[in-house]
Amino acid sequence: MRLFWHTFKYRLKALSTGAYGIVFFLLAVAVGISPFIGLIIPDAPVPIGWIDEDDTQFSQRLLKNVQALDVVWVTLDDEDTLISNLQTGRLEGVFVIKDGFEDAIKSGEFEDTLQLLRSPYSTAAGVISESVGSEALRLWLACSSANEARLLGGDKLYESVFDDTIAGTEEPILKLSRKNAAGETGKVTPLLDAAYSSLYLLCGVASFFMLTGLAMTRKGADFSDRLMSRGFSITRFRLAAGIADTVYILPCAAVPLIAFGLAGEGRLIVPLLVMFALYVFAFGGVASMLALIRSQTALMLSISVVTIANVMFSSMLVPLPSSGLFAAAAHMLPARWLSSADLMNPLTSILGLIACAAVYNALPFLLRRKER
Amino acid sequence: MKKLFAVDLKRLLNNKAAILFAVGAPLLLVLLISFAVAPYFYADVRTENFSVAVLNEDEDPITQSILRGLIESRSLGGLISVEFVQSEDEGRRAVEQGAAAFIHIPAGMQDTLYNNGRSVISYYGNPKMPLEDALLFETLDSGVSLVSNAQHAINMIYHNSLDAGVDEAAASEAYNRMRIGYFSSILARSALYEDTDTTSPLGGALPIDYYAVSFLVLFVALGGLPIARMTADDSETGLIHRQLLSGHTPLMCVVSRWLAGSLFLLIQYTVLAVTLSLIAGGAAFFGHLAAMILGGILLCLFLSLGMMLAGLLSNTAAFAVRTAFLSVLALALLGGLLVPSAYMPAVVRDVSYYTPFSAALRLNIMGLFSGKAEGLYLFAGILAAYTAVLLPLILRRFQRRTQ
Repeated sequence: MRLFWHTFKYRLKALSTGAYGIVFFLLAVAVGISPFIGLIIPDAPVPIGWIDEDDTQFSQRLLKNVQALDVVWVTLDDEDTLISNLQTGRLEGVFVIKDGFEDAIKSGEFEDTLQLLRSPYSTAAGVISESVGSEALRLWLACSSANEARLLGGDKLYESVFDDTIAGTEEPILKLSRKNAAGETGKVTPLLDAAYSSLYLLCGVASFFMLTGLAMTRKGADFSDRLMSRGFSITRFRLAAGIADTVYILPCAAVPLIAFGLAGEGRLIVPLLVMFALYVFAFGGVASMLALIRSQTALMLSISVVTIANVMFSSMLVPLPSSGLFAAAAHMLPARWLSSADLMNPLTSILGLIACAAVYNALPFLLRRKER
Repeated sequence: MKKLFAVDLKRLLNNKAAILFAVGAPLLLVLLISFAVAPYFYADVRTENFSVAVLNEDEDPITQSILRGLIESRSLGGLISVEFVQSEDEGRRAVEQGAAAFIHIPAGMQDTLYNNGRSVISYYGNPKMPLEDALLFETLDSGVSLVSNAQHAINMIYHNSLDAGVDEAAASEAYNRMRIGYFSSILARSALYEDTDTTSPLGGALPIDYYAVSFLVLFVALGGLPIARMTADDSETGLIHRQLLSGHTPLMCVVSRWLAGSLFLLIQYTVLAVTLSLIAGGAAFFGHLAAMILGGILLCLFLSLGMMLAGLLSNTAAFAVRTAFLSVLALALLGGLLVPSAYMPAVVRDVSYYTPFSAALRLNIMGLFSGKAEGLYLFAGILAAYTAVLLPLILRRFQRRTQ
């Protein structure tokens, strides 16, 4: 037990005084802060091109309305330049207002009046087509209503209905209100969102820190033969070092946890701190298991695979389905329990993480080979 | 030189486990992601059918018609099965028992709208089904927003007509006729575009080719970590000094390690590229063969040099691997692999365009999926330029280290 304690102290001291321990700590803090920078920088509009084949009052009005949107940034240029920029990925899409747009809209038709040329490198076609399409539909709605009004009351009524419809309403007439189980409007603030992103990013970086720190601890380099001669195995050494690494990286969690407090979710601070500690500790066990791989190339690739799998399949990067075999299997990953913290009772997540930490830290003792 | 190359390659692929991992590990991940995760986010691929509880207290036939149209629409048709419930409690119980959401349409909604009022449809998502909840809410919210615009348009016909002295019965008849037409038109709004096959029925879903190639570049980059480790190990093992003492020049040693690393990465690249193009492209190959070959080779040459630099800048293997990993992470973020550059601030987007991973990404999209895309020489030139800048740097660092 004394050796265990000394190893823990030695490791903690080495990390807090060594260059890479300090650099990694600062880097983890920087990674934790990064999602909050997104709160300061406004969302950037998506660059699109605009080809107006119709060149009428209506097509110009549509352009004006689209230019007023926050989500797109319209570039006007000649067709060849726009297509060239589209093909090299400078523009996400080019909208072609087809010849006859005004006539079609005026006569109450909208089918095939627009064309979206999508960049081969585009990721935002869905967003931009919905935004521009909504503006075109608003124009169509105004025109159709005005046409109907003209039948009822002549040109004067046409003008008034058209103008009032285009002007829209300050508040939507009909809206969908997302409510939580208590029946109140759900309150997901950007700060709370950023706090979750920060915590998840930190988890990704911390797991890599544990894997590279422990799995690459080789006998001879970091483990004294004297310790082994005194009955202290390298697996125990890694367990002690794993606990030290966990304690060392733990203060980084202050960044997202403070944000949780500021976002009014102070009740989550303690459970999430416990979960983060258990999560990092569980990765100490995973690292100890990976350390059993003898081939250095295979070890490096395993570290990459575990890091990617932990982020991709744990619902941290993108939400994943909550049922089925895959969802159940994903709970083998410590990160899956942490990312479920807002869905299930925090106690359940903590219990899941305790189980992960216990199993992954016990397995190296069961799997260990004779290393001498 | 041949001997050096063989030794360096053997250091990377020194046993069966290493070879198996080099080929199998990224392949396994790609297959898992492709079949278990990707289908939920990529264009024209849908989630499994899930149920939604609806409490419709508005007996107006228009509401019934909109509801039916929405359920059968292109966005939601086949995706959801609707379970009509009789009370709020029953709806919430349905969510507890596995429905993705409970939607409550209030009584007299159409009457409220008719009388120029405002109405709110309540939506309770199942917190245990975040994916289904997000997809459903996004689709419904954009539909409801358009219905709101349509309602405003109809209200304008009715109220402005009355203000202008039109007979109430005529205005009312126009109101009723137009709202049926508007709501069915809105549900068919995808017809607005001449070509809609490139956008997803789920609106915010993502194009598969971009993300497939992002994974390709990211996995190949992370597959290069052993090169960083091997380079950092050079000084510890003393191998480099033995090679120099046996008459090899530093340039030969660097080039040999560089090419061995590139070949190691090229093996991974080939396996992943073939798998991804089979999964994402189906049986047909839509890419540009020259771009694929050039993209693969240039990416591997660049990555191998980058990993060597990480190794040369580090005293220990662990530090080299961490440096390499964080560099890959930074380049992946900047290159738009994790968050597409379309959503970046304008200045960052411009910088991103000229970063090595962004060039590799575009070159490989062109190579694997889109033969019509342009920029082959531009993107190949960017990657080649980074490689050309790194080479003398590494040679100099290598010489200093061995001295």
